[in-house]
Amino acid sequence: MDSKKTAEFDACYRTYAPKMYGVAFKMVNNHQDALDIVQESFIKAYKSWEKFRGESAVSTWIFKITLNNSYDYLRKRQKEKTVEMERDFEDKKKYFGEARIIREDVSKLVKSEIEKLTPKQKAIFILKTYDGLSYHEIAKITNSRIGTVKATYFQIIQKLKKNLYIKEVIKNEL
Amino acid sequence: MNCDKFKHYIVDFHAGEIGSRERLELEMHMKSCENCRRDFKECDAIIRNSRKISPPVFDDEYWRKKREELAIYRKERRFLLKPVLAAVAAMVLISVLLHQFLPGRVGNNMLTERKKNTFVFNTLPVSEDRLLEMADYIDEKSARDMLDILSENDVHFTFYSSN
Repeated sequence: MDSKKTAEFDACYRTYAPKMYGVAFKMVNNHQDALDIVQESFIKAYKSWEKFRGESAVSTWIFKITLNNSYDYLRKRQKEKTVEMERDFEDKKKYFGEARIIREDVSKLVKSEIEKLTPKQKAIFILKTYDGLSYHEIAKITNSRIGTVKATYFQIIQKLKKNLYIKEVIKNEL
Repeated sequence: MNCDKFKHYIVDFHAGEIGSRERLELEMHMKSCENCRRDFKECDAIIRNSRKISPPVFDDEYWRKKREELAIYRKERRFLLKPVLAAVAAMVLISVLLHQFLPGRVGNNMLTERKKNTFVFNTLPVSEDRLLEMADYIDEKSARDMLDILSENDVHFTFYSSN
């Protein structure tokens, strides 16, 4: 890669690495894994930098690589993680009682519900809720149709609402 | 009342993807529908609580170090792949030299024509993808050195597609 391309790549890293870390962190819920995902994603991007023809925005391309890497990580350890979080909740309940946990750990409960989503649902939820991307941009990144993204996001919200309502989280919040 | 339609509008509202006409319709509807008002608040609570979950934030210095780590990796990869590149270059040169000294071999495979030191091939010595991938790891100096060697020895290559 010539020095101009290397400079372009470095600029791309400066701009997108922190953002991709945020996405990866929310996907895998772990600092070291998220960091590994970011570095691996940029290594992949570097390898095919010359081949990138600009058919989509660089950000879309980087998002795609990061999400695909996150899917791989999640595939490896999602089951283990969910069990771990549920165990954590049950252990606390024994000591403090459910009502107190609900008041203290609302965000944590929401987090554990997000953890239960499928990798693709999770990606759509994260890109919409945290990164504020449009349905159109999310469709491009996740290789889906806009209608599918919209319907999936709706389903996710209904699912979270139902599950969190059961745990009385929302009730306490209103 | 068609609350199903408004359930979608509520999600679209929180997703920031609602049109002004639908927004007005939703606002009017919620004035008279308690279920939808509740639905709206629930949706709001979910989004609000979700946004409280934030990853650690690192400063520019942290990302500069990480970028440097990546640069070291890139250099290592380049170094590791140089022998492969040298081997391929050597193979091309050897095959060219063999063809030069064995005149009866011209015409069947890669080499289709030879005029003095110009060699015409109908295929690339390795696949185009492989060549492009390798090209990623050639630094400018190495590429220039290779070209110098070829030009000093007055060897020319021409590739054409058989299609």
